[in-house]
Amino acid sequence: MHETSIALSILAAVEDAFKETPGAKRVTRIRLQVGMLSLVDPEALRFALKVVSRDTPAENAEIEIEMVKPRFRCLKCGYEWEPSDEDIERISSDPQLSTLVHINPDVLASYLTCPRCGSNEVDIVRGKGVIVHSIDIEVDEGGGQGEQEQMKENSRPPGGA
Amino acid sequence: MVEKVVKFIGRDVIEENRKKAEGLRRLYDEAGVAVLEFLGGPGSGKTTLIERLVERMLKDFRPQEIGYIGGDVATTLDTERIARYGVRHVQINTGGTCHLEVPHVEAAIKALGGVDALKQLKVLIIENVGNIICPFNFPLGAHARIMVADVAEGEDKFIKHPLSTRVSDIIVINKVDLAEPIGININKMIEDAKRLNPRAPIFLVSAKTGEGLEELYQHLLGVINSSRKG
Repeated sequence: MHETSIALSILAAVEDAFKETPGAKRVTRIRLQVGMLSLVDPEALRFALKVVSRDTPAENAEIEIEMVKPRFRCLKCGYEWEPSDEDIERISSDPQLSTLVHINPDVLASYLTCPRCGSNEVDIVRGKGVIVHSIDIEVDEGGGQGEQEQMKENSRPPGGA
Repeated sequence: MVEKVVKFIGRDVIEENRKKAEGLRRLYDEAGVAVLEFLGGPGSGKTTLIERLVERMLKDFRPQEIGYIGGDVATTLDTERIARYGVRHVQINTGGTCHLEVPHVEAAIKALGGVDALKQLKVLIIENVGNIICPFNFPLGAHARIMVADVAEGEDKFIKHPLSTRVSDIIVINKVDLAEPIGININKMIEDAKRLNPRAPIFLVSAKTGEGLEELYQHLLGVINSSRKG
């Protein structure tokens, strides 16, 4: 659902980081962490990202997607837990519930109870978002500080100067 | 030789998008303007309804205190209609996107003259792109989201679009003058809408004949006044 919108936001975050990097030539890899509660389809997202990144420095970058399991925390007793695979399947396949969760994952919290103390006050601490974790950038041979130090290292004859 | 740099980003784009709508609402509150967003399928009568409401508003507000942002894939037709009333106005053409998003509205506010322009307004009407599904997924920070569904779209409109119905603050059933000739059971529509969304008031109107308009206007006036106080 609206993976294109999300892809555009990812591209913006990638381009910000690209612009901050001296000597950056192109993005070779984008690592994404997609929370299962975002109910974003990873393959639709991958395709959308490929399309929107055409004619940008991120064109043809490898797109690595890690699916992140949700994690809940009880606000009463502090207990933290993760849902089982069956729970996740049930949420994603229920059309009404999955749509509500997609728009506002916090809605899911109202359906949860703490397995330890039974409280309804549950927070979702992980699994709602789509995180742009990191990118690999190919840099110009002449650019970047760390890069120049590396070149000096290589040009020193073995055994010291 | 270092050829590759790994750049850590760690940004959650879903969270960022959600915060943008909250940012817009803060902007409206800072400027003291009440924002009413109209959503609904294409041809449901949003623009005609807004024309009638603006006409009525001009008895309580001055034209320069009313603003209008029209969202459409193409043309300036809707905005031209509202511009005739002398209100502040700007058209957004999405060029293909089926709904308005925060960046569209940010650009429109900039075109109107930014926060300073917003401060001159008491009410800002945003008319979203004609679409009964997508716009409901993209909040624009409005104080009230008004869903417009007309009887000619069919009795099942609300049950077929539960999410749209649920997230609306006010529900308007338009073109009620057509219900009898077409054979539409309005009571069924009301029941469906109430079941899905118990808290949203439902107004039966005909923008064409004027039926139900004053009740709707009085409710919106209440929303405008309480939104500007908060």
